[in-house]
Amino acid sequence: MYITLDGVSRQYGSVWAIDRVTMGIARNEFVSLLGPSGSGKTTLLRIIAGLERPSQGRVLIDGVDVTELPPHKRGVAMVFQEFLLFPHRTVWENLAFPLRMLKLPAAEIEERVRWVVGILSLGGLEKRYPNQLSGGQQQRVALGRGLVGRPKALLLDEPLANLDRELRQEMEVEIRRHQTALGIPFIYVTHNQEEALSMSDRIAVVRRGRIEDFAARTEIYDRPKTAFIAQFVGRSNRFEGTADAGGNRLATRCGARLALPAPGLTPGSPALAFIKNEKLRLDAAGTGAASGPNRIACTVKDVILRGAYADYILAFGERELNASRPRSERSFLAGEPVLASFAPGDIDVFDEKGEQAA
Amino acid sequence: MTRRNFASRAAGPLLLGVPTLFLLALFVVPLASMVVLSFWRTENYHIVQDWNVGNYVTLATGGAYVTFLIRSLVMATVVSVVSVAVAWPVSYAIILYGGRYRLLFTLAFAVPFLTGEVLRVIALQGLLGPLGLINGVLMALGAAPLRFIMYTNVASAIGLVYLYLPIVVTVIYLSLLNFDARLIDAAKIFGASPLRAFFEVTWPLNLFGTLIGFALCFIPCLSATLAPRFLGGPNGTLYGMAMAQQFGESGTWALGAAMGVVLFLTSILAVLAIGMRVNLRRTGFTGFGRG
Amino acid sequence: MRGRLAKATTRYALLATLALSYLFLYLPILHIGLAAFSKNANFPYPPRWTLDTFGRLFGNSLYQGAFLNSLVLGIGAGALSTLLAAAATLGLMRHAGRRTGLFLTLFVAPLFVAEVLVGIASLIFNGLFLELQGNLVSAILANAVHCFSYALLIMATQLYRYDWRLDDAAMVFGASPLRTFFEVTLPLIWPGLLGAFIVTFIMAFNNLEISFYLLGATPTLPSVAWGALRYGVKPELYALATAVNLVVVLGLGIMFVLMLTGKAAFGHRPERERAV
Repeated sequence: MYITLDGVSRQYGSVWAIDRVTMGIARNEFVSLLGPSGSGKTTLLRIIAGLERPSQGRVLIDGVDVTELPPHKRGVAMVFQEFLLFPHRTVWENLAFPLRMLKLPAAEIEERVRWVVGILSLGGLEKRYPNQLSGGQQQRVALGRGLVGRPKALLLDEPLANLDRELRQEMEVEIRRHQTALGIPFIYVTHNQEEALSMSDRIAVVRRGRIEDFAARTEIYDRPKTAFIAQFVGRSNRFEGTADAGGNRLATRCGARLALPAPGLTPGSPALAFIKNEKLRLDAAGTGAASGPNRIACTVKDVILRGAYADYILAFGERELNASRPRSERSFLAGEPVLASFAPGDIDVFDEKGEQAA
Repeated sequence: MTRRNFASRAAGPLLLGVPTLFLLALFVVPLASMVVLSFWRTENYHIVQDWNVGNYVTLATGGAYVTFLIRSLVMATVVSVVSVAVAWPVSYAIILYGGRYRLLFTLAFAVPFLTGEVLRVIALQGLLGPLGLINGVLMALGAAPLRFIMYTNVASAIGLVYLYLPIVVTVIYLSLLNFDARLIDAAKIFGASPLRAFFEVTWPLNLFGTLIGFALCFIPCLSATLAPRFLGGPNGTLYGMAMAQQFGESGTWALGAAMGVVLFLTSILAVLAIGMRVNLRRTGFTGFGRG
Repeated sequence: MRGRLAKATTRYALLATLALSYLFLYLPILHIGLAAFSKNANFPYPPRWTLDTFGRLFGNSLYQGAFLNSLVLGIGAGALSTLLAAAATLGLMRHAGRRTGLFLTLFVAPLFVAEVLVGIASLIFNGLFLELQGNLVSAILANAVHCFSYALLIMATQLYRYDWRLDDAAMVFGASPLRTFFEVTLPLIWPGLLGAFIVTFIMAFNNLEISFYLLGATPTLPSVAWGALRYGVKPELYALATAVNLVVVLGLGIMFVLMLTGKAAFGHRPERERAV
C-alpha cells in the first residue's frame, strides 16, 4: 500500500482520540474518512500530515516510515476547511509558496503556477489578495496550492463545508477529476455522506477514534457492516424489536413484523433493523394482503417534492416512516392510505451490540 | 418627523461629534497654540508677541539641544528595539504556554505600567541606586558596586525599558492572539521549516502590531523627562528633560514650545518613516471593518 | 531527533525569557515592598518588620490631601474619558461608515503624542490664551485626553464582537432607541465600561507628566512623591509606592475575575484555544 497506518493511536489525557487504527491506501485511490464531528477523523488526517504525533503506531508513506518526520519533510499537501490562504500574499504568491519551499528554479515555479491557474480557471485573479475573492474562488486557490507541488498525497479536511450547496456539487466533480488526472491519493475528511459517496473509491467510517468499516463506497452504502453505519450512511427507517423463536423474524416494538432473509439472530434477543427509504415500495391500499410480514399499512401524512423523486412521510400508528420514490411511479396525496412493503433482502439486521446479524 | 426617527438620526452625529469636539478643544487646539507660541519669544519671564523664528535658530545652533535630541533619538531607538526584542518571546511564550492562565500573565505585565512613572522610578532606584538591591547584594558579598548602573545612560535605558516593556508586550500579545496560528500549520504542510514558517507567516502577519508596539514605546521614550532626571547621570540629559526645564526653572516658555514642536514633528516623522515602509496589505491588514 | 531537540530548546528559551522578564519587573516592586515594611529600609535582608513607615505616611497631612486630590483626579478623568470613549466606540461601530478610518485616526492620535507634550500644550493654551490658572479641573481635562484613547481601545476590543443585530431586533419588537440602549446595549457593554474606567482611573491617579503642568499649586500623590524624590528616596516613598501597587493589583484583580467569569473580554478571545 502507498500510505499505511499501522496501529496508530492518539491519546489526549486519558481519552483515546484515535484507537489502534490500521489501514492502507493505494497510490491512486480516493479515500474518504467519514464520521460525525468529534469522531477523530480530522485528528487522523493531521497525524498523516505530521501536524500531530501518534502516541503509538507508525505512519508509512511510499514505503518510508514518516512517523518521526515533521510535516514539512513529508511531501504531502493539505486543503483546509477554512482555506487558510496566506492573507498577506496574492493568489499567485499563495500558489507559488509550496514551490518556493521546494527551492525550484524561478522558471519552473512560473510554469507550474501557470499550469495550476489554468486547470482551476483562476486566470485574471493572480494579483488579488485572498480577502478579495469569493468563497468558491478561495476554495479553488486552496485546492491549487494543494496540487501545485505535486505532493505524494493530498489531504482534504472538510474543504467544501463552507460552500453553498450548488457550489459544493460543482466542486465535488472537479476535485474527483483532478484526482483521476494526477493519479495521487486523496484523503478526504467529511461528515457529509453525500460528498463521501459521490467522490470516493473507498470510504472509511470513523467512530469514536476507530475505523468502523473501510470498504468500497457501494459496500458501505448497500451492505452496512454495523448498525452505526446503517444509521449514519443513507437515510433509513429504523426498527427495534425482538427475534422470534426461529431467529429469522423480528417483532418490532411499533407493531410491524419483519421477515429476515436468513436466520441469524439468537431467538428471543433484542435486535435492530434498518430499511433504506428508497427500498420502501408504496402501493395503493387494498392491493394484496393488508398485513403480514414485510408489509405495513399506513397513511400518507405529507409529501415533499425533491424534483426527480418524492419523499413520503407515512403515519403508522404512533410512529412515522419515510419512503423515497421516483416521480415516474404513481404518486400519492396526503391523507391517502397506502401499503408499504419491502423485500427481506433489503433489511439490514443487527444484534444488540450493533454487529451484523443476518 | 417622529421622535424615534429624530433620536436615531441624531445618535450618529452626537456619538461621534461630542468626542471629536472634545479632542479638538483639548488636544488639537492646545497643540496648535504651542505652535503659535513657538514663534513668539520670552523675555524676563514674559511672553512677547513678536513673530520670529529665533527659538528655532537657538535650537539649531545652540549645540546642546541638537546633542540632546540625537541622544534622545538613540536612547529611544535602543530602548524600543530592546523592548520589542524582549516582548516578542515573552508574548509568544504566554500564547504558547499560558493556557488558561494567559490572562493572568498579561495582566501581570500591566501592573508596572499602570503604577505610573514616578513610583516606578522610585522602585527602580530601589533596584539600581547606590543603596539599591543590586549594589546592596554586591557589597554584602564583598564585591565592588557596579558603577555603570548608577546615574548613567545605561541606568536611564534600563529604567525606560522597565517603564515601557509592559505596553509593548500587551500590544504584541494582542496581535498574536488575533493571529490565526493555523496558518503556521498551512506553511509547514507546504514545506516550510518552523523557522521559515515564522519568517514567511508569523512575522509579516504580526508586523503591524509590532510596529504599533514599537511606536508606543518610542514616542514616550523620546520625550522622557523623569527617568533620565533621576536615573541618568550628568551626561544623561535628554531632550524631554531639557524641554521640561524651559517651563520650570528657566521660564523660557517660547523656547520650550519650539522644543515641543520639534519633538512632535520628530515623533510624527519617525512614525511615518516606519509606516511608509510597511505595505499594509503585506501585513494581512484588511481594513477597519468588522472583519 | 534534531527537530525535537530544537523544539525543546525553543521552549526553554521562551519560558526563560518570560521568567526573567517577570523577575525584572517585580524584583524592584518586591524589594521596595519589603523595605516599606522593615526598619532596615535600605537593605531589608532579612527584614526587621515594622509598620511605622506606613504610620508616618498615613499620618502625614500632606500625603492625605494629595491622596484626596489624586482620587478626585482619577475619578474625574476616568469617568469623563470612559463616557466619551463609550460614545466614540458606539459611534465608530454603528455610524461612522466610510469615515471610520478618519475618526479612528483622530481618536487614537493622543496615543502617538507624548504625555509631556499634552501637558505642555495644555499649559500654554490655558495659561496664555485662556489666562486660566492651573487647578484640578484643568488637570482632569488634560488627563482625560490621554485616557480617552486607552479607554477607546479597551471598549473597542470588548465591543468588536458585539452583535448589533440585537439592537435592531429590540427595535423591531418596538423598543425605543433609548430603551434599547438601557435594556440591550448597556447590559452587554458594561464590563467594557468598567474595565476602561478601572484602567483610566489608575492611569490618571498615577499620572505626573500631564498633571504636573496643569495642577497649579494643587498637590497630588505623584507630584508630592516627585517633590520628595528630588531630596532623595525616603522609606515613606517606598511605602507610598507599595500602597499604590497593592491598589493597582486589586484593580487588575477585579478585571481578571470579570474576564475569567466571561463577563468581559478586553481583547481576550477564550474561544480561540488553539492559537499558535
